[in-house]
Amino acid sequence: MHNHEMTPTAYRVLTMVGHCFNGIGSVWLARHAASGNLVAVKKYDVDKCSFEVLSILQHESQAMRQLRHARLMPCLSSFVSGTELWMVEPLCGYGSTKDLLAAHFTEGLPERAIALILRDVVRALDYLHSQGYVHRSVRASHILIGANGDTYLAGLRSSYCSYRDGRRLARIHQFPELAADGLNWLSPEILAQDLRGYTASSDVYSLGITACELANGLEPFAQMPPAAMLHEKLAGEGEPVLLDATTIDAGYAERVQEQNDTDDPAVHEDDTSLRLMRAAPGRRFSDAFHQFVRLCVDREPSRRPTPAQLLTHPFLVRQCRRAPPLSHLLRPDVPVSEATLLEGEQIVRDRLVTDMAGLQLNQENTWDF
Amino acid sequence: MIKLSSPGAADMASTQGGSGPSSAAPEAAAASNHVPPPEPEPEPQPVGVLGAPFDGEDDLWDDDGGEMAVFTRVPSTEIIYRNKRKRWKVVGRYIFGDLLGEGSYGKVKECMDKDTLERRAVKIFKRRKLRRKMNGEQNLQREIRLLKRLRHPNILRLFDVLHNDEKQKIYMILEFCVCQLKEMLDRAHEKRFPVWQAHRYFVQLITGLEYLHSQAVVHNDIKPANLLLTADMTLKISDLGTAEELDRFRRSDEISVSQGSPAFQPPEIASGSDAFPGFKVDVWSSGVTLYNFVTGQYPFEGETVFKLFDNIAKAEFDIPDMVGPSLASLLRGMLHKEPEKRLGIFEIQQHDWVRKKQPPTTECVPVPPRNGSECHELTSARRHGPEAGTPPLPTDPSGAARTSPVLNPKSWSGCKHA
Repeated sequence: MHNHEMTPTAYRVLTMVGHCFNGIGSVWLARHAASGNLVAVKKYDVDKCSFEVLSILQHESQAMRQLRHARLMPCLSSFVSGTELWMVEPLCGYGSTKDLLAAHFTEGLPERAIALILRDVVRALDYLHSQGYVHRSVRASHILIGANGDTYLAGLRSSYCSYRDGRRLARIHQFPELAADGLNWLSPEILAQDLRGYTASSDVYSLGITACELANGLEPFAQMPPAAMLHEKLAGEGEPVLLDATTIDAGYAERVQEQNDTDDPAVHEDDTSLRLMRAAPGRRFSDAFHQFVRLCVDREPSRRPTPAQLLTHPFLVRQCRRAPPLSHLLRPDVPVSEATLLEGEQIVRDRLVTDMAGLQLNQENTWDF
Repeated sequence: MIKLSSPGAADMASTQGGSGPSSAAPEAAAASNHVPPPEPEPEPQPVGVLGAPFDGEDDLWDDDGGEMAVFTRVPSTEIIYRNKRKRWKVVGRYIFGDLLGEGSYGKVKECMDKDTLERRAVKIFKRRKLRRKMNGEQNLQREIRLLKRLRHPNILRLFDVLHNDEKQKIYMILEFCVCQLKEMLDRAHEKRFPVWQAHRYFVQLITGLEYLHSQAVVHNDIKPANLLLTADMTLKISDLGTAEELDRFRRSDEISVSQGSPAFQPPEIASGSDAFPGFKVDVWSSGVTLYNFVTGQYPFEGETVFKLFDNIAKAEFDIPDMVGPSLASLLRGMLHKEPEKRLGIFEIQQHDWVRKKQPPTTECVPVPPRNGSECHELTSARRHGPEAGTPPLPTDPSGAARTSPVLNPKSWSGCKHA
């Protein structure tokens, strides 16, 4: 592994590819000058960050550097340059699984791909839990996939280390800070914030929600006001499920739409969920997958399996046996890689040449400022 | 002259639990301190056409809808279903829950941020009641100013202050705590903590005080009723209503007024001196608090404030035999008559009893249940959840709505296996 320097000049920043941390930071594609490898650089303007945000970022980079596992996103380097905090991570060509859902798999990923992805996530969770960490934000946008199909669990900024003063806490009571956009994935016991607290098993609940998200194309409880979501989770009215032929029949979407037309406008389903409901009856997930999700989203934390137990679940075992590489399953999506990047650069250069060719300087014009 | 707080100002002292009227005689305090448990509000029942929950008459007009009481003629047949329909109460971005306690200033309720779902407590002040008390509004202003500046794990954090000029109310959004140490002590066997548990709280109290003093703040009213516990058993010093903010450039911490509770006042206040070192006032009252933690009693008692102050001024007290020698020496150091010879915060931290780790040996005094819930269940969302942001579901007369998997806004979770 190359040594990744802690100076901005060691990286040639190419282009911005997105945002992170609720838009506080920006993600840039960059090339590590010494090795020529592509990396992702997350930049935060320290001056614009609040005290809370800074302490969370500090925690994130500490956790990323203390933990090391093949399926956990590593931090290659982190440093402050001027007013900017840079965090250098390996580039994941496919982006996050949320990006996959947004691009080519708007109605959900194929079951096999989900199994391959989740198996790696479960391995990462197993490691995290063994180190006393609770991840607390397992969701599609925190699962990254490299160009060769490697899956990484990221998003350690909301993780919590249950070792305090040399003792391991039996129950955790701290509510994740600045996690408003991830509430749908949180387990009922985290949200309840009562004396019972929560344990690492709340990650398994989030895993179940993530499984639904990857399969359905949208997470359960989406488009619901947070308080209503909380009430549903606490009251246990209707568990999150995979949407397929066994859970949704063919006329379902139409009935919902009919209801939309007749009912008062506030109960409206939006087009996204209607589209997903229409897609659901046409597919069939395996019974093992359904059971996997049911086990994960059990409301009773002690009944949920541990990550180690999940690794032997028939869903993961059967689907991953003799599975083709993940990148095959993700076609036609193409990862950002050397090849595509060069192609892209070529296109940009070509366009520049043609644009320049079309540009004619009029002799009579003088520069007018 | 005896510097005594008005009974009202002393009453301000109690925070979230809202108990603890500062009575001169501690036994009397303990006896009169029993706050009747707040009446459990009737369970919301989905009755009526809209399935809206019914509620008791309790603060029917208390919500923030800005509604005016309009008298309209209602046919008597409709009265059963339509009147007293209370919407869940939302102020700003907070959904209000059950009552946690009551004080002379108003109420303390549980609440929840409706966007982040963080559980909070809200202290509701009624301007009308504040004005009736000596320094009521000034004390509140100072408390808000101080809390905005202070940030420490052992100081109760203030998140937000909301004003409602129309209703003359001030809402302080605070960290949610499960109980006061006073409530725990009242329910404990012999009204005291095992030594290890007292140690755990005392260490946090001293850490919090060290921070307060470093910020040039004298708390002035340290007592078990002002010490709260969060769900993870972190101690929070609350109620800076009577705190004194010292000038940062002044050399000494000398103060001349203290509005604390009589049983926790030091001899220099009891004997009526004009000026005394402020930080040592907090040390003394922490000493009385620690004494109370481990013995269940108070070092100084008296039937009237006058007799009590007489006893305090003498500064003679007994330490029961059950208190070990190390702890006894700490108590004597903290309850020294002369403020100059009394231990400072640093000396307390260096004391053997404080530094020695105390492993849990006996059973812990538990947090008492609140409104019948052992684990202090969330109340704001349970009662108000489905309406919060979405209208109630139209109820299908045939009951088909319940069984058919349709019906959104719940589609994602609402569908069952076919």
